[in-house]
Amino acid sequence: MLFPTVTFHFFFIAVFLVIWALRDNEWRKILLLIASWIFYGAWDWRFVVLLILSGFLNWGGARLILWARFEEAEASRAGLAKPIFIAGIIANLVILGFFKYYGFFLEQVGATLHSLGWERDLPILSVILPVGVSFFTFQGMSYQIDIYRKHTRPASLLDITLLMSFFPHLVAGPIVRASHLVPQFQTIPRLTRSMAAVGVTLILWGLFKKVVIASQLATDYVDPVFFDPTAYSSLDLLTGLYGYAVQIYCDFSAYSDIAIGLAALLGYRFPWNFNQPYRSATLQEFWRRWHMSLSQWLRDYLYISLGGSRYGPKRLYIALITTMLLGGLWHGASWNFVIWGAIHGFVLAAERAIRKTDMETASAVYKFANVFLTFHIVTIAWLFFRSSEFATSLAFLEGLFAFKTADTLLLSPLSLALIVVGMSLHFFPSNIIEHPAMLLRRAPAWCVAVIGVATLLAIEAMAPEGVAPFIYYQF
Amino acid sequence: MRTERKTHNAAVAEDHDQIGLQFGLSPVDLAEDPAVDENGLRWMLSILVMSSLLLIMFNSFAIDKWARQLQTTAITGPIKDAAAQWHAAMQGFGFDTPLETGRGMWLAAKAASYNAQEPEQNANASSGQ
Repeated sequence: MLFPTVTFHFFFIAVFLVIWALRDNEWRKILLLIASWIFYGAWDWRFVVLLILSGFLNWGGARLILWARFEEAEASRAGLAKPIFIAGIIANLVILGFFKYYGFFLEQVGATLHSLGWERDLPILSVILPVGVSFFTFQGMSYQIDIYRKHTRPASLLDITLLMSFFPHLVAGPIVRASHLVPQFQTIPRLTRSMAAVGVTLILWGLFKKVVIASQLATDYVDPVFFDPTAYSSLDLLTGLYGYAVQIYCDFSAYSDIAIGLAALLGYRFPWNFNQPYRSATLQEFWRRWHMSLSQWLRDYLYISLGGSRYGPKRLYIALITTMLLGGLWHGASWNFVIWGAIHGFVLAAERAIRKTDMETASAVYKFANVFLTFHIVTIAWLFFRSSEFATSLAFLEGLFAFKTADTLLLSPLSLALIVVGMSLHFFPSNIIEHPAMLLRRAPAWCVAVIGVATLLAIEAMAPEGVAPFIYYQF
Repeated sequence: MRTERKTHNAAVAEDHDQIGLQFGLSPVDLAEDPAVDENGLRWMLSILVMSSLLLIMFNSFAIDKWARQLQTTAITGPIKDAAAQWHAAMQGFGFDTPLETGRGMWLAAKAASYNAQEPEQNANASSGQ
């Protein structure tokens, strides 16, 4: 079930009415859980079974860790908790690995064996990738890790399965942790005008970014350019690449905005996930602003576990590069994602090794030059992220630097305008959502309804035929 | 031992500072306004009811399109007919004018091209969508 559809509109209104009609918090959570399964089952009911099993696994793993801790304290039997914890993490990685990397792994093994003269076929299985498997697996893992590290309190099976299944964030984040959402589940939610106003504003803003900017750019410009880069001029390739940078930001941040808005209307607070990333003057700053819930996850559970900056510069560089390589692989089983992660990892390490100037005190020209450079590093990395194959990336780069001209341009004034608008969003004041929300919460209901409907009609008028799924659904 | 722990904590804090933002900040948190009644449920319900009624009238196109995509069964058949009749009725009242006007302007913007001889082709392609 996709957010910007009439089906989801009906679904959400029904959920909203039922949830707020209930007084008992436990029943509210049970019905939210069932609604989340209906939402997820709209793709494939088999995925729901996997989601439930994953919930049981992580809740059960955490209970076993707690039991082992109790046994260690009572019976002085040390060392039980750690193997249970490791087994729980491996079980999560096996689920992720099977669905996401099995086919890729066999392909690589097959290619290696073939090059060594082994000609037999390997048992290729057609494995369907469950939507959002990376997101809910990471959420489940973070609960087990936090329990092991004593960073969160144990939660009930209902709370953990709801944490992992809650439909606003289920398929593309933000990656919400137990320590953040479970305490909210344990208290009776209250819908304030402020939450409702922010929710409405974020949903409308997200719909505009997704339907008008991202989908329009994708169908009219970016998809054709990446489908056959050899058919277009260097100018079209360059603007197509900028177009993809705008498209992926508008697409992914739109999903996050809508998810945060929907959760707010149900009485729950989700964290920020994007904060104008293309205004970053360093790649380090970019990762503080882009997909913040993933970068914080990687920082807390991977980078710091790998040593972080605690063991000197060499270990720091290794930790950064390894974190980003694995971050790339998290997106999918493809060498292009590994290259994307490697570019980010090596540039992050280089920044730490070379850059000494404090951006806060740097001149405006120096800062602008760094914003320009960082944006182009990110955009070059997007080229590998977007291309279906490595060969396509190379063809794209070849065409880009061939300074090839053509009789006709694919770029239209509308596509150019959408790219400019999409880029300008990063340089507006950062409280772009806060101000309209503060105005809306003071307005009478009829006024908000009229503004909302007028905005929705404007978005509908600009919508392309059909709505493509969000880019991050595939991860 | 205590000094070691302090150094470790400082390094972890530095890692947090270097790589990311504090977790848990939410766009939902607005500054308090004493002039606003913070009980938002009735307010939001009113918005939902009014906006749904307005959308049923002014965006009957979307409902008709959604209904047409349903598989025809004993249950969905009457829904499809009702959606089509409703859309025709709303068109008759002129409630589709804002949407159609907006769409016309958008298609004209889409048809604009930097290529000298292509506007007609682009317009045809856009209207075919």
